[in-house]
Amino acid sequence: MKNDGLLPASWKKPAALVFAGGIFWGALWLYAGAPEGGIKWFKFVIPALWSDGIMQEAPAGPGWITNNITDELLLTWITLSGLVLGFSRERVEDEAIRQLRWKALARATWINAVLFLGATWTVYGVPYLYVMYAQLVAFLLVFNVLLAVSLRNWYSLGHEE
Amino acid sequence: MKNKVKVFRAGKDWSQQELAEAVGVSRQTINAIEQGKYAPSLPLALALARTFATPVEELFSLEAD
Repeated sequence: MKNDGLLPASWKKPAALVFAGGIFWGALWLYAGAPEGGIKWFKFVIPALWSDGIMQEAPAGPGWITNNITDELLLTWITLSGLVLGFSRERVEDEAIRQLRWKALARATWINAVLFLGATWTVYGVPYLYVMYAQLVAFLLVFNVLLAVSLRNWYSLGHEE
Repeated sequence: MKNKVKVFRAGKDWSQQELAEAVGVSRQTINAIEQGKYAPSLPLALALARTFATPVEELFSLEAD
């Protein structure tokens, strides 16, 4: 089988659960507020390519910094599970399914751009930070929601025997 | 694009699922093709024509034809 960049179908359901959990956790933190500085057990000394030395306990520039990696873990969790969810095969992965995935990808790109530009021209000050936070995962979220709706409609196509 | 997939399938007395398995696609894809909701790629159109042992232009035609 030629490599089409898709992952095994068996990965899809676990990825959906993990992605939904990550989005829920992220949304909860965004609106209810995260613990100050993240979860205390996740504070480590880590390598940094670039650090301003303001928000981390470290001098500016590249080097080793002490940082709480809670948000890094959450972003990695959401990004990887979102990619696996969106790019796992269907049970029968044929050309029609590939077309649905492509359309969802194209529509998500446009919708995300409209949302982002809409917020850029209407949200100012500190609230714009939330726009940037949301942008970190918005594309994957919109893509996966559009794909899930398309697939649901597709699988509900009736028999025409 | 018009097609006679449903007619040819009925002629063979096949279900959509049987035809789908014969050409390696899902039952929904066959259903969508028959209803004119999905235009198949050239390889799939040729595979369907070969399955029915008929020329592809006998199975598919443009609306204007």
